Parts: sequence; structure tokens; C-alpha cells
Amino acid sequence: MNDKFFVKYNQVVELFELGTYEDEQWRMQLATLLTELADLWPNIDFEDLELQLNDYLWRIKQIHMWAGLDINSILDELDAHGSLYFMDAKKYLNPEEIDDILEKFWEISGDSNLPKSGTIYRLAIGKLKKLEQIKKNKSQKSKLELLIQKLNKFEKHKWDVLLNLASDWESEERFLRIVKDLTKINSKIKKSDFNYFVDYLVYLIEKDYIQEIVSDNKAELTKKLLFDDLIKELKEYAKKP
Amino acid sequence: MARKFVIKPKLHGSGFSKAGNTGLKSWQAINELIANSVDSWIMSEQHKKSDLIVKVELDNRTNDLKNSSLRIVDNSLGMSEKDLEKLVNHYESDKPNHKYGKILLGLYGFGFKGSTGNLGRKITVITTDNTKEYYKFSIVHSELDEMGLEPEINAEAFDHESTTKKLFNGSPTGTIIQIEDFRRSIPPAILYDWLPVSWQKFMTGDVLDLDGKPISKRLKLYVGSELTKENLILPYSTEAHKDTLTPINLKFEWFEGKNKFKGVAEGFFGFRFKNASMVTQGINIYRNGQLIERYNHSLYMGKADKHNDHNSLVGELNVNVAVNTVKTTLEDSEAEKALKEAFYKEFQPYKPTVRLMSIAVSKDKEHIDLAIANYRKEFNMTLSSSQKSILNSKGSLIDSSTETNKSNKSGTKTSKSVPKNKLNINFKMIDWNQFSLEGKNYTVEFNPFDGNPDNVPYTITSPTGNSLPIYVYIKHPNGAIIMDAQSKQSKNRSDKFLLQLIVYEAIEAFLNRLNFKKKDILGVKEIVLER
Repeated sequence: MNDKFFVKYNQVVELFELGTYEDEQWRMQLATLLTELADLWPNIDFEDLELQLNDYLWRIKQIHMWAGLDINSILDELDAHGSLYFMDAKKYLNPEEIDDILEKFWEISGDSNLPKSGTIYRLAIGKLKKLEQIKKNKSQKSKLELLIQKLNKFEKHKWDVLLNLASDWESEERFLRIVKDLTKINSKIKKSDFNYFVDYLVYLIEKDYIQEIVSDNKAELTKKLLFDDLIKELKEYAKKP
Repeated sequence: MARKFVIKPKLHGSGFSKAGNTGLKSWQAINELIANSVDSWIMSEQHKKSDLIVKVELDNRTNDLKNSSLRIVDNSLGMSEKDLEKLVNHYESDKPNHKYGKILLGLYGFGFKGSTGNLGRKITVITTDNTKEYYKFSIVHSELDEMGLEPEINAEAFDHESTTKKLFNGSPTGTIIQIEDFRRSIPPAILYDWLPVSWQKFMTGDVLDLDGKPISKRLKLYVGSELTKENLILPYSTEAHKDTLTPINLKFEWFEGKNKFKGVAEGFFGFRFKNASMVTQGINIYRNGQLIERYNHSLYMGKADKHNDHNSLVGELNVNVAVNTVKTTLEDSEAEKALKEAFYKEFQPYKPTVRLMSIAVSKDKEHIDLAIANYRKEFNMTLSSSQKSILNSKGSLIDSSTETNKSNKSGTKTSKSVPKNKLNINFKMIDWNQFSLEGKNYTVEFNPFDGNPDNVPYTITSPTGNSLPIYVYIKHPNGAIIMDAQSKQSKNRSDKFLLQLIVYEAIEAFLNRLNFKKKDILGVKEIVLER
């Protein structure tokens, strides 16, 4: 990850936490940083970014959303409320609810010498509970995610077996790295590797590296179980919905 | 009765086992041995008369490597008793100076030692170039290691009889290389996976002879103990749709010291719609028809590109640049850099289409046909009547997934900043430094700045509101010229043009920020600079 991105991301986090939305300098600084961040945003998945930035996934997603806006829209949003979360939350609120919250927010802020954006989040919290419900309903897992979930549950010793075999098969370095990672306790397949890993398993089956073992040779029992499981899960995955 | 003779290699006995430490993969080592068969076939000019038959027999015992074996048999020219000396010596080869040197696969006289030593510890060679006798010798690495500086290999010459005259895939001449006591397991799947890609050019007659014409005879490659139809390996196909095949013809140059070299790379790329695997996308690179690298994507992918967006892209490239000693990869050299630069540059206009094609893979036939028709139109390829009618009735493809991504990325306000149809940009110049974009007016502001932080005449900064600010550093000599040009532009065309260029630079940066397409931005350039 680019160092510049790391620094600017953390500056954005600090400014959002400060939340002094009526301060023009704060707005300009934050807007400029967000537009710069858009250009620097690395081409990796949020989950991987979460590890690299060591920040909360929800905040990374929110900041990414802000950084995707044009500068005029950023300034409009910052000027209205300056809240990291509220812009996204608005999607799930109707116009009356938004106006109602904003009016209350401005009313409260008007009495303060140094109004903070954080207030709006507290005002919207009731509505956001509804939003969480919506989000939960929406987050149905894709077939790929379901397959990965199943693969992540495989016993670790099976990945040890696959790692040895894949070395003999002279598999690609990237695939070997993923399998090696999977042999470690609590490790999971990274989101950025989902497609590649599954494509590679399909390839190994197509090319008969992984195939049904009919013999009852006890020495090959783990291998047989691994191959059977992989073939079963990938067949399931390949089925049309 | 066999006649015995001794071969005396001019190298330390341990040279054989050490030659195996080349880091070759099994497929590469096997290919080196097949390459020797191919070279022998070409050097003897048999490639003009008869097919080359190569049989690969593998008995891999994962739990008993000592008794595992690999046997490669060809019906080529074979070797004479004298040739055996060269075979066992390092870097002794007739190939570079041979009449057919330019199209041969072997380069350094290292392939046999390097590849057999890589695969196993006991090597047996049976060969002949004549009908009277054939020769046989074995190399056992551990025995040669002990012999030290003056190793000797015991060989035998046998009378060639009616039965043995069919030893080499039915032919009296040829070579058998047998490798035993494996260094590692060689799963049979490796053969079925790699051989079709590695040798497809020789299997299909896609290799040129010295005269520039395709070699008419073929390589027939069998895996198994019998030369049966079932054991015949079929050539690999990229499965690129024929209507998307796009020729690549690159010429590139590089320097090594003060010497200038020239390279050529020829081939094609195209798009496949039958499958879209991330594993098998990419360009297969060959040298003189032998595979060097499979599924290479470093040639066309920039750092920011997504691997996934290129899944339908496939192709082949035949290069004439240097490869490493055992032809396992392009050398990390100036030649390789020059090839990559040339390819990347050539490929740039096609990049936006690659993503569209990868999206089309998951769609129905109608969408794929439209994608192909669009592709041919965009790159000035002839259109069939059905493609014309598809285009007339359906028009252009838009990368709808990009639209969706942007929408997701930007939340609810994206529609304000990114026009829905990015192919039609609504842009107009209002004044020399003012323009309207999608109905909104903007000004490129030239702000004089009394400093010179970066030792450049000006800096274009992030847009604020309706302004695209440029800071002109008046202490920089050229900064002063820019400020001066503003008052003189109505009289002086050079001043006017200078300002137009800077204004365009600011607008270009702005449009790039808004993710407008390159094609549209070029259209804007015409408008800004034509005034």
C-alpha cells in the first residue's frame, strides 16, 4: 500500500472525528484530502485494506464512499452536516426523515460555539436501527462466498495434504501461497483471492490433478477425503441457481 | 556380442548431478528433452519428409521414487558414436553454427545434462543414426560423483537386428532417453496439462522453416506405452473467438552496453467466450515454437489493473529475444524490458475493451455478438453483414458494470458528477479559460503566486467549487511568461496557444478525476485547442 494513502487516510479519519463542520477551513481541508484519497485508493478489497490500515471495515467503506464523490458534492455534504455516517444513512431514510433530522441538528448546533457533526449521528440513531435491519436483510451471500465459507471450514490437515500435492503438481506460486496460509490456525481465504482460488481448484479438477480416488489404500485416505470434498463442493458451486 | 567402448566426458564427474540443480520444473525438463528430438528432426531435414513421433512413458511411483521411470522415445536422426561425446560434455553443441541454427530450439548444449539431471539420478541413453548398430550407455550420478576429475562412462554398441530396427517408434534411427531414480514425484497430470500447450505449434504446423514457409510435417506426441489414437496428445487451443483475433507484430530495440539490438515478436491476442478462468487467461510465449511461458499477463497488465477484468483475454506470441540457458523464461534483460514496453504500448488502445469482453463472457449470445461487432468496428476490422445489422439495431456497448461500481462507490450523489452516457460528453468552451460541462460552468483560474516551491512554472491543484485553480509561480522565468501571456493573447498567437495548452492540462486533469473516457477527453482536447 502507498504510504501517501496511509497518511492521508488517517488524516481524513482524524478530521471526521473532529467534525467541526461549520469551520470552512476544516471543510476545505477534508474535501481536498478526500479527493486526493480517491486517486490514491489502492485496487484491493476492503477486507484486505482492513488488515493493512488496521481500521474498522465500516469506516473504510464510509470513507471510500465519500472519496468517490466529486468535490462539490463533498463540500455540500460537509457543509450540511459533516458526518461520516449520515451521508450513507440518508439512502435508507425518506426525505421527510432527513429534513427532520437536519432541522433538529441545525437547531441544536445553533446554540453551540463549536458545533460537532457527531450530534447528527445521535439524532439519526433511532432511524439507523431500522437501517441495520435493512442491511441485514440485504446481505445475502453469493454462491462464491458460500463456497469460500465451506472451504474455510475444511480441517487444517487437509490443506497440509493439498500443499504437498500442489508442490508436486508445480502449481502457481500464488496458489501455493494461499494453501500454505490456509494450513495455519484461524487462517481464512482472503477476499482478493476468492476468485483466483476457486478458479484454480476448478482448473486442477479439469486437468485431473484432483480426481476421484477409487482405491481403498489407507495411506491415501486423507487425500481421498480431501479430493471427494473438493469435488463435491465445486460441483455444487458449478450448478446453476 | 556387444562391442564395449568408453566415453570420457571433459568435466568433473559431479558435473552431471550438479547440472540438475537448475531449478527447472518437471514440465520444463521434459520439454528440453523433446526439444532435442525436434532439433534432431530439423537438422537431419527429416522435417521436410516425415512426421516426428515422440512417445513419453511415465511410471511415477509417489512412494517409491527409486523405481519410478520416465522414457522419451523419438524416431529422429539419432546419434552416432562420435556424437555421444558431445552429448555428455557441457556447452558443446553444433547447433549454433548449423545451417538450421536460426530455427533450432537448443542453444547451449546444456539441455540434456540439465534436464535429465534435474529429473533423476540414473540416466540411460539408447540411440543410433545408422542401420548397422545402436549404442547404449547409462549414467549413475553417484558413481560419476566418485570418479572426480576423470570420469568414464561405459558404453556398448549392439548389432541392429530386424527387431531392434523398430526400436525407435517403428524407425531404425532415433533416441531413447530413460530416467530412473526420480529426484521428485512427477504426476502424470503434468504431462497432460503442459504438453498440449508446449508443443501445439509443432503439432499444428504453425512453425516456420528457414525459407519462411510453415513446416509441413508435424510433431505427433504420445503419452503411454503404445502409439495409439487414445494416447495421442491433441494440441491446445486458446479458444479465442475467430472474429476477435487481433494480430500482434512488434519490433523493438534495446541496448546492451553500446550495442543496439533489434527484436521481433509476432502473434495474436483475442477473446474467448467459452470460459473465463483467471488461471488460464493471458499470452502464451514461444521461442521458435517452443513454449517459454504460459498464461503470461505481465505483458499487458498495469499495476492498477484487475486480473479479473482480463479473464477472456488469451493469445500467443512468438519472440526471438534471448531466453535463459534452459529456456524456462524470458531473461530478465534489456530485451525483455523492451518487449514488455512495446507490447504494453501496443495494447493500450484495447484496454477498455478487455473489460467489456470479460463482462460479455457471462452474458447471452446476443450480448457476445454485439461485443464482437463493437470490437471489430472500433478497431477498423471488416464487418460481416450480420455484424453490421447488429450494430445498426443495437449500437454501442457501455460498461454498465463500471457504472454500477461508480454508483456503489460514490453513494447517492454520483449521478451529479458522472454523466450516464460517458461516450457523449457535453462540453463547450465559453471563454479562453471558461467552459461548461454537463450544463455547469467552470473557470480555470490563473493565480499568481510569489514563490517557487517545486521549481516549476505552475501547479494545477484540486478543483474547488466551480474553479480549477492554477498557481503560477511568478519568480520562475516561465511563470512570468505565463502571466504576461494573459494580457498579450489577443495579439500574439503563441501566447494564446501557450494558455490553451495549460487550460487544457487543467481540464484534462479535471475530466480524469471525473472518470471520463480517454476518447471523450481527446474530443475535449480538440475543442480547447481549436479555438
